[in-house]
Amino acid sequence: MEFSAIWLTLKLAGLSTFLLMLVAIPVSWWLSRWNSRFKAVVQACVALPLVLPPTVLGFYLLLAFAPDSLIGELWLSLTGERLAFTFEALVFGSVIYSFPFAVQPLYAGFAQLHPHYLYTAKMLNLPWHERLQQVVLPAVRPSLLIAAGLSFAHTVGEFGVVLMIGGNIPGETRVVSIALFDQVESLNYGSAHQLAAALLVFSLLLLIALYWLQGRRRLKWNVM
Amino acid sequence: MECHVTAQAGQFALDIALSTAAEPNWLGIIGHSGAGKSTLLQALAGFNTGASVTGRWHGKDLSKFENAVLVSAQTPLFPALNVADNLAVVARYNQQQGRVKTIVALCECSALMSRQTNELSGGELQRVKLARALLANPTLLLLDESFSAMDRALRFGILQNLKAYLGQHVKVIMVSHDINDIIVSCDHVSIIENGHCVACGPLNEMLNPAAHNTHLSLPLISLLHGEIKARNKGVSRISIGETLVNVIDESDLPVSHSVRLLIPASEVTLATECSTALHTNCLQGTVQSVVPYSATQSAVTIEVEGQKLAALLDNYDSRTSALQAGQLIWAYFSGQQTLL
Repeated sequence: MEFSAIWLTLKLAGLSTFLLMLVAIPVSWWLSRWNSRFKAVVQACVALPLVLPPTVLGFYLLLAFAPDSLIGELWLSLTGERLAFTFEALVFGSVIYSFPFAVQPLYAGFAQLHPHYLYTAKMLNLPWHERLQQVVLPAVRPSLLIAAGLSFAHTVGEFGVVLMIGGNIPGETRVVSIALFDQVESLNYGSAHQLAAALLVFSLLLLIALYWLQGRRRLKWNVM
Repeated sequence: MECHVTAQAGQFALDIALSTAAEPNWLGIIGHSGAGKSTLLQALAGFNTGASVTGRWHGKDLSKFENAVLVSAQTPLFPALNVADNLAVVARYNQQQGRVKTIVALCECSALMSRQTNELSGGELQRVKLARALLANPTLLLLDESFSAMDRALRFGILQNLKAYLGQHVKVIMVSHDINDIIVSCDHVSIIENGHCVACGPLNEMLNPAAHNTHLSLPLISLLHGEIKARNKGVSRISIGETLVNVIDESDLPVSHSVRLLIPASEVTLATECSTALHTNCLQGTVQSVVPYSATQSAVTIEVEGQKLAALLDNYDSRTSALQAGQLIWAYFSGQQTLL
């Protein structure tokens, strides 16, 4: 069993999910409250990784992370190391690749929270932290769970982008999906089966847990 | 009181100027559906960020009313909290913990405290919303159809308790489709049509038939003052001056209690001769005036026992043109009238 690859995958998925939540929550809130004719353009950009072949995204990220590109050069000057084919590059890539999986459930959660709940809480003199705790968080908790769960599961299962920007460096960029591919290429089907089955069972259990938690107690957030 | 509110809600433009010579404590707003009543109250509560509110009420700048609290379908309870927690969280941040019990009793919410918000009926929901609004320590209370799902006895009971609790310190603007709610509680009334105020003034003046020349939103209703003389099996005998009338009475008002009898003009039948065959109750009076009320009806004001009673007569009725001021007339009405 490739425990090093499994640990690296969990570390990558955990860190990416954490960063995704930090970025996706404010972006989703802003998108749910923003009305402009350019909203469709922004929403399309956010959703692009859903439809783009991972290799296309990986290719452009590879170019962006090269030491002679703006991002690669900036990274090199800050850390003294190149960005491409490192664990950090995988984290960047995963955040971008899984971004729509985090934003879309959160956007739906924030959009269904009618502004009258917030107006009412403010009118009744509840401070901002109480409005967050009693109104916003309970309303979007199912969406938060789905967003975090899907981001994590999607990062665990990503392959194309990782292959393009990370390669196959043990302990650095060799995640489970890459290890599985490597085992198949080496005709080592026994190990491949173990990894594939582990990924399958893990993903299934995660999704069951998510849907169970989401359906446990659904609050009604309709006004009128 | 001077109040000017402009607001835009989609395609609907609101431009309402309310003005009264006296300072109302309870201002009733009536108007047809879509007239702009709720938009007005939402603007006053700060729900419509694009709205402009200017004016003064009891010397206070309306745009700077500290605690303008709205109770309406647009002020939902928080679904993540049960009833007790919905009230407790508001009481805590308004330093009203000491008043929770009183307010819960006033709004008849004692039995609802452990319930989840999605388990409440429409009337229960309205009572909890009212209690929560009172715990926000309002200086201006905005009631938008806040009693519509309650039965009449409960509604009047809560309204009377609410009036006693709020006293003179809290100003109230109340929107209701039920004119009885307005008459029970308000001292002034304003009529709104198509986003504009078409009439505003003291309730007694607005109930005057002559005020109906310009609008028909306010139904013609008379208020007769009397006293309960006796009660028997849900029927009260009430003295209107020297005359006794019988009214079905579900309240628990004691004998000798002063009451007001609310009689819609549409339910009064007039006769130029005394007859016992018409209705339960009969009041003898003299015609004071006959004024046009609508294209098809005229409003007749009669003086009975030193008070004014309004009735409606169809214009095609030959008696309408024959009526003259000072003429003796008999007014008949049933015992199913509202007692306040």
